[in-house]
Amino acid sequence: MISLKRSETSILIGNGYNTVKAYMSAFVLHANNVTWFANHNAIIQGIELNVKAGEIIAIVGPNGAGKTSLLKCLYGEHNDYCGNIYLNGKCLKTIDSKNIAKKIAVVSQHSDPAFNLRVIDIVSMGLIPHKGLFDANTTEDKHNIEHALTRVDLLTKQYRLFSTLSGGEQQRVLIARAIVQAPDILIMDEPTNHLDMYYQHQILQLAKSLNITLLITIHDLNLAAQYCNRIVLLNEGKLIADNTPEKVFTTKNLTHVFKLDCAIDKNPFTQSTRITFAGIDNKVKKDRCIDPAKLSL
Amino acid sequence: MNKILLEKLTNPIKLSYKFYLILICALVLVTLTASIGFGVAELGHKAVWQCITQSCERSIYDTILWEIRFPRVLLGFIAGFGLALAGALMQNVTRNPLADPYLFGIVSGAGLGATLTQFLPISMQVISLPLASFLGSLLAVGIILIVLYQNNWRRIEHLLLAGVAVSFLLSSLTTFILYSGDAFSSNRVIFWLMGSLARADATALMIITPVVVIAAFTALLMGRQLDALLLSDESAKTLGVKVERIRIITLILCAAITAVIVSYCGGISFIGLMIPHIVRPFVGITSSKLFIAVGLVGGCFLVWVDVIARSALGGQEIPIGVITSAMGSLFFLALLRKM
Repeated sequence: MISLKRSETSILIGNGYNTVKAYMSAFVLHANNVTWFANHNAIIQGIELNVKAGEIIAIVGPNGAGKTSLLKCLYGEHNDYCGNIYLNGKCLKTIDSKNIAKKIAVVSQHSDPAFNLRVIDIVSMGLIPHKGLFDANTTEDKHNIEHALTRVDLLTKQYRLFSTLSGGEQQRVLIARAIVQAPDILIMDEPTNHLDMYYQHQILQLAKSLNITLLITIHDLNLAAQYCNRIVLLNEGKLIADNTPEKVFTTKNLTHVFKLDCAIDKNPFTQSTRITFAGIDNKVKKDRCIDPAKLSL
Repeated sequence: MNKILLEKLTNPIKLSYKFYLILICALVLVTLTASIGFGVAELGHKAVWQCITQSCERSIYDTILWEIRFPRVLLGFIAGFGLALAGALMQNVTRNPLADPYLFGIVSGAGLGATLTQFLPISMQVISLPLASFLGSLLAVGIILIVLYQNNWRRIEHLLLAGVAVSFLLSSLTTFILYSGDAFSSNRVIFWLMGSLARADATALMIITPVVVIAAFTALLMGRQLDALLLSDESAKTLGVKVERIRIITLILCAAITAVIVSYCGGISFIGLMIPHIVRPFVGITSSKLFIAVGLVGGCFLVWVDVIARSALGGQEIPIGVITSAMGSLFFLALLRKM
């Protein structure tokens, strides 16, 4: 059930339906007790998640924690989940996939097209949710595509084959497609996989600069802490913590979820939370919460 | 701006689509006019040109050109258009560059249908052959659609595997019936299976043309959705494309085109595989541009193959399927080397 504050509960008595509706409308995306099974195994269990407009949320957790499955439920790829998901206050299951695509764009993990698609071919696909069967591309569409390509700094490579681009450039192409799609929410599933340091930062910086709601699954906790203002920590399909990076990235939470000792301090450049994991063989015997100052002794 | 210009020059599609389309349209015009000059009866180019521009010098020329050759050229063009379009559709929708409309086992189904007509009275065999082969094609497609339905339309690789299985199953039945049937009927069916445009008449054109035109129009309308499928099913879904629906419609379109062509022209293979690969490097792979170009080039290709088939050995006609299979096999091997 939705957890309501006391003041909200008192209003609920007067006009319950409208209050719940108003409550849900306050969030662009609202997951209420979502559970999803694959082959009779619960991959995610009882997830509660409220996403406000403009938030940048990282969903983190070890492999198999259910990060991608949760995302797939949120953008309607999995629609056989239990519980409810609301997009702008409307039940996601009742919204047509085309209308979902107008609100949510997805940059999924590395894709390898069978044919030689050019950059511009892929970016133009962002128009699909906004076009009917008989609609042709307009001058404005062309302008939007050029704008998106400029935004990701690929205007000069628009005729290149997608397969000949580097991993970072390919991710930028998919982000350009998302820009053309003009969504309210951008969902990115492990966008920094296989990328070097520079491209990892470039992709996240670019996504952040779009100034829309972002939901990102990511393995690098330091990147998550640096670029996101909210962290959702999952483990074995369950929500462990959902708060700011400082509150979620505690040694207690991280050693419990990742089974590794860690030290937490501040990134000297950005002042964001910095996590340093010990190796499997480097267990700290007494206190797992380490003061980094002591580490150097 | 100079960088963009430089990039345009390094564009894998070197010249504009309009340029290639004009070139292809010119090829179509030349093909449709020039090909009717070839045939067993040597009319001479002057006489043929006179027939096209004014009126024929002799009435026999009129009959040869407009009642025998022209319907055949038109049928070749429409059949080539349809088969090449079906090939491009199949390759896009399965994301498999080696897909071909005949993967459905359609030719095997048509073969079985045609073979079964030998049990009918001889007077009925000629009329019932196209109908029986069409029903045989539908049988093959029906089996495959049932297999896909049981897989919730999700596993597209099942389409290819089911196609191969159905093809072998129906071929084995055909072979058994031909083996145990009479020699005359068997020869007739075998020759038909090799492919020919000899059945060209107004009825054939009136049946095949609407199917191909409607299919082409529908494919063009679904162009954006089909493009989205080129990345992945999941990616297409995130763009709001109803993947299963698009796939079913496309498969039905391909099946209808192929079945109706095979029922009149027999087994003309490899056009659906070859032509899209030849055309893609020039016009790109986006559906709206590819489908029209592929269809037109496919039409011209089959018309010229038919010209070779009816003029290479003088009075004796070579089955078209023999030529397209030979060319297609070599092309297939070259393609595999390149991949």
